Amino acid sequence: MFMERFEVAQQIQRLAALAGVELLKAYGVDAIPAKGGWAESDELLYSGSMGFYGETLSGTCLLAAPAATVLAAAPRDARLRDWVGELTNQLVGRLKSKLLARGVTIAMTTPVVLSGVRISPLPRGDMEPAVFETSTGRVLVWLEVEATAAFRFGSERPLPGAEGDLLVF
Amino acid sequence: MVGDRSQSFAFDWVFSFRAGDRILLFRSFRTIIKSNMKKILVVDDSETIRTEVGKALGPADFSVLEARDGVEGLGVAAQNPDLALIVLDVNMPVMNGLDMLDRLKQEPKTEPIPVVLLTTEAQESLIERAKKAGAKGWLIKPVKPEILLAAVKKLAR
Repeated sequence: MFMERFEVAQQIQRLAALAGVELLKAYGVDAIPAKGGWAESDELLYSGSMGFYGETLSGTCLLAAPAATVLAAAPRDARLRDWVGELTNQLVGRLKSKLLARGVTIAMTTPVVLSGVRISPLPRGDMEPAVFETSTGRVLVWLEVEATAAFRFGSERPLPGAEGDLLVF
Repeated sequence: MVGDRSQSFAFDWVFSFRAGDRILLFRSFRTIIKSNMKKILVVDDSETIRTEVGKALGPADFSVLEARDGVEGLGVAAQNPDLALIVLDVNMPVMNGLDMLDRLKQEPKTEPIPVVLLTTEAQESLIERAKKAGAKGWLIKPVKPEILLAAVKKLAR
């Protein structure tokens, strides 16, 4: 299916946002789209950023949330830095699976993690990052994507396994 | 060995690993071994995941050893060829899980150790590579503790 690059970026951003909601849900946190987008705050935020690359697609995905939200989605006794990195890894892993199901293969880098206050995304184009409301704070899922002219989505197909599955060889 | 209480041993140890023409030295995490317990090695760069695996397996009388990446994992496996199973992440810094799996299977001492991959990945080519390399299973994160425990009980030797 041929699409303009902006459409590609929009569609992949939607997949990343969906992956973010599913990921939080898997760890017991309900997230809904926030009204009004992202707002700077004095609250300490934790953020993980991770790259991905493939033959026709590459980009970076960023996840940011206040400590309370990260901890709400974490096992007991989890360390913040460690868990933000792992959540980012699982977010991009979920995005990878969604792309794979549509015939697009990417590889993932390892995540980097940072924390700070008054962090705000500065997107280069018109596409706004996805922002979600949870009971403990707002979550940001931000994706910047580069697609080549050869990029195509294939027909959707099932993958060999889903979350929580054990494949025995 | 730094401790010995009621049939259990807690120790730290250092091991070396050859990488090309360099010899790297590593200090392990604290390891607690109770006598007559099966030893499981969990290799994951997330401390939280390692801890969660330990919490899931500990009550079922498995001793859990930890490593942060493939290079550390190879060192721990070489020192513990009696491991009952290795739970191995795929996407890790320094050495990824599939490369560690290849190295394990090339070494006669570690080749028989069963390996299950625990990862967010569901890419057929990676799953096929693990299968061809001799892995016993593939678990997709996040995994409930009871599923993980059942998988370990099923696949551990």
